[in-house]
Amino acid sequence: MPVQDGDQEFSKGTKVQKRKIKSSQTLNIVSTSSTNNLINQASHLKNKRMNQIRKRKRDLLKRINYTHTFTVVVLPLLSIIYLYKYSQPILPENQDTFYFSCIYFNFTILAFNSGYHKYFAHNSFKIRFKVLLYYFAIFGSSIGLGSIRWWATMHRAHHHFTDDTEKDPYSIKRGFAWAHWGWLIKKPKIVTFYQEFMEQEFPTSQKIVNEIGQNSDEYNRNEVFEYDIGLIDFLNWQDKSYFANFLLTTILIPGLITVYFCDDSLIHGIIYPGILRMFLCQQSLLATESLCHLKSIQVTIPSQPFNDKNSSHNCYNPLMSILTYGQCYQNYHHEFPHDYRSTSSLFAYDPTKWFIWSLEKLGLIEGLCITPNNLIVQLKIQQQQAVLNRMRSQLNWGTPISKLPLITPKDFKRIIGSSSNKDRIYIIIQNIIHDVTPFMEQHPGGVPLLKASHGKDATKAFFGGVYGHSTAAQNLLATMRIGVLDNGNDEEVWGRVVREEGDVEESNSSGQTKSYSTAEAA
Amino acid sequence: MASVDSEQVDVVDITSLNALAAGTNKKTPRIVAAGLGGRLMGTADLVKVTAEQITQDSLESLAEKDERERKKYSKVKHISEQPWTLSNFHKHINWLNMILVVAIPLYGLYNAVYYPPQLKTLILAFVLYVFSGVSITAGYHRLFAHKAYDAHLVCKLFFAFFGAGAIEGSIKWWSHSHRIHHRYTDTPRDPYDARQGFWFSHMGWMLSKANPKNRARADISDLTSDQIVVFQHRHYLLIMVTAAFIFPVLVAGLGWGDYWGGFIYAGILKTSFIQQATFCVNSLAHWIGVQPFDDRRTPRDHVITAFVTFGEGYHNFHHEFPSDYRNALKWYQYDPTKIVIYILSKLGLAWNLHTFSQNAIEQGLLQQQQKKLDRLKKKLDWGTPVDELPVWTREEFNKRAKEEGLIIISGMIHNVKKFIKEHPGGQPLVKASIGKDATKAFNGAVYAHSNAAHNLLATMRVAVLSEGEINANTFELQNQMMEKEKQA
Repeated sequence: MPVQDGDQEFSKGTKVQKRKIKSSQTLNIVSTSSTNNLINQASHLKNKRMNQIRKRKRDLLKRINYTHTFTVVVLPLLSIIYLYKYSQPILPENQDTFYFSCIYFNFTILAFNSGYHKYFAHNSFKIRFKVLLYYFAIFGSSIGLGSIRWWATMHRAHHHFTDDTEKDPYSIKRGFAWAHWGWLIKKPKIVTFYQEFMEQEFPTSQKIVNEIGQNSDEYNRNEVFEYDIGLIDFLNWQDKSYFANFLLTTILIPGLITVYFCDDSLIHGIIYPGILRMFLCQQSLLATESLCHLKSIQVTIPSQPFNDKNSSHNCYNPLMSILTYGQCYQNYHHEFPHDYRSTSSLFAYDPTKWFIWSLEKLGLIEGLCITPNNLIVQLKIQQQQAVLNRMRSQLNWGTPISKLPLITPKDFKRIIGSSSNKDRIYIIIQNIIHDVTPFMEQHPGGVPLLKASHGKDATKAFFGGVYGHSTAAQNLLATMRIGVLDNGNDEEVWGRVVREEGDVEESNSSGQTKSYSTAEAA
Repeated sequence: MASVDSEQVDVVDITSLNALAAGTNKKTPRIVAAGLGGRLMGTADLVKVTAEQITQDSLESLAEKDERERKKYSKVKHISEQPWTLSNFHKHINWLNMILVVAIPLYGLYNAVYYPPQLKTLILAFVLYVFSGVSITAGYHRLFAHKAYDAHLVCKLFFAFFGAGAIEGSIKWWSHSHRIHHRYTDTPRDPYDARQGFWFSHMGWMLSKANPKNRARADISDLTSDQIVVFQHRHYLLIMVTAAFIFPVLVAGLGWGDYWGGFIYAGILKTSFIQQATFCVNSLAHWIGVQPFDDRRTPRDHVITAFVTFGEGYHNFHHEFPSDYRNALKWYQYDPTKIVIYILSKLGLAWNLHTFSQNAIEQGLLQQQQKKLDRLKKKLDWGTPVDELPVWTREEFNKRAKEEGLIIISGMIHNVKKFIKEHPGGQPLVKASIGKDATKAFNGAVYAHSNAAHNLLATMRVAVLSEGEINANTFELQNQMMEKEKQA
């Protein structure tokens, strides 16, 4: 098959190939055994794929998200170049500008964290006065991470498909740089998927909402969604006016305030409280998705107390806490995303939590979402149990009783009597035969006791008659099992099989027989 | 009890085993300490017990035993059973031990106040302190009492000599009572029973007279066949005085003319320091710290105890794995005795170092953690167990569903009325499912709920549906369903 060259022939070529594939398929039905067709088909597929790759390369410039590149890369870079060229300090010299920058930093990042993140993406509370909506929407845009609809969709996708390299927009599996900055600069590959996801999560019009309500799943066929039309319009407005809002809150407002209230130049106002402040906010937000998902990070003690099946970590490091504005407890957040707190600890550094809490006390919002303590502890326990089960499966617990050979007393006596086993010691405990020869020298109670019990049933002596052995001793004993004594008294043995191996099954979570197990086993 | 029937396997004779374990199977019953030695640290009549008595004891309950003992001693009450009064306190006290452990150290302290030490003497005292301390931990304890390794003759002689200088009894007596302590931990037979309080396990047990009804024995036939142990036991008083007092006095006196300082600092005070450190293993190690291996008995792990006692502070581990030559497992835990033994083994002076397998150690850790988790689990609300839920028919469910806000998930009926408002995915989804089977929707068709959501769901159970499959572990069910979908 000749490979098509040149960009102009591409569209034509693909069409031809499509037709050919169709014809080859029909041919396939006619003559099944023709290998030629198979080869043809394969090369068609290969060509198609190569065309796709070429197309993607050609479209590289189209796939850059220029709005975000401008806010995330170009603006900070320009301002730093300016500062370098005119040898200005990285922190403002004018004290008033400095104080204003600090206040403005908190003012905007709180709008983003509690508005974009907690309210729109996670529905952590309900708003009673519309003023707050505008505060969230206008000052949230000053971070320069996109409109509410776009950012919250991406964030929900991130929570929904965490660590999925295709669907998670900032999956850490694609590398630190991608999770931190790359995803902002490059448009995602699966555009249509995200568009559909966005329509589903934040519909652009009421009509589509109803459509979804009728078609998407059978459970809601008769119900009509009561999605707030006001909110849809609001999101539409914010989406359209995002860039205007961004310019207003990042350039205009800081610039004017600096000039009129801080007695500083306009350019300082744009750079310090405007762009550099924005850059700092961006870094602290992006760090939660990159640093707090990075397992190999050494500056913190990464831990996953709730779920270790995804990459989110709780970073116990005060520096990380400050850097991420109190959002570094990602493992907790990924398990309880609707909680308005970022961790259940009362004393954690979490300004967003304090802010939302005070809003609630002021009566501006209501219906705070708090995870009950019981649930948090339950999940912690389940996670610890999972870790324990994993550890347990790695240890040697001796041969399971059900897999041991049955040995009759007669055979057993013959085994003892045979000369090849002269130096070995066999002891029966609870109807199970143990070969304790390798352990003999280590027995803390001495060898004579073992020798005296050779070939005999020492159950009583083992369990307190002479010495009540510790759990560790019983574990050691289990590793020395070699067979089950078949003396007609198997009820007791099978009782133990159920007890021990039932446990094993539970831990392997193949609990077909255990359909009545409680949620504890999870 | 050997059975004639060839179809049956013999059962061991516990009495004869106990005789073996206690060392009473010999024709001439061995006495641990006679004469002055018998009164030195314990009492000789504490070990006059037969295998039959021990067997009977371990097979019957404590109450039965108390009853038997009470009858036996109904006429004569032993001094230890009488209350302490002003008139009989002198009978309670073991005066010999009082002098050795309390009076002499006090005398030393008194003199130390008026006699400032020389630096050289202090260094000598410290060196002897380390020598005697290591002799007790590496020698008396891990080598002789636990047989954790085999040592060269030179080592044994060193341990026997400097160990005697600690004035804690002969190897034979010390190991015997230590083996009893391990065999009967936290029972009345334990000579330093930690359940009777800190001071009893620290010094009280040796300052007061013990009750002879708590007699116990342990097999020390391996020690009695050791020439060095026998020799040290026989000439204990002489060796003790030499090692504890004469040796330091001579070194300090002949070396730099400080006879009196050598006696006070390198003799008396050094000895009493070691004594207190060793007592700390019996008291402090059963008192403060954590129990990572087994919390049914009192031994505990703590770094402070380890610092005081040359590394014997990881006592919970030690009681679980007594014949391990190590006490601390991790590199950062303080156990100089372990290092000494390890170096000796590299020098060829010690060999056959016993260690328990990592597998067994981790098993112990795991089981204890599991126990803790299970205890925590019990405190939480996991929803009503399925077995205790009432069974409803479909009709009953249909009748009550709309009114009470009921949903079927995985064959169980859940009351979600109160929860509707709190549902993170919005109210409409839940409202739409009322009165229906939402198993699929809950388990991934609409949204794959988190483990926490499944836990929350479990607390809302009210009944079981009479027909249909039930899987109480809904999270497990969800994983299975999603797995199937992936394959399809």
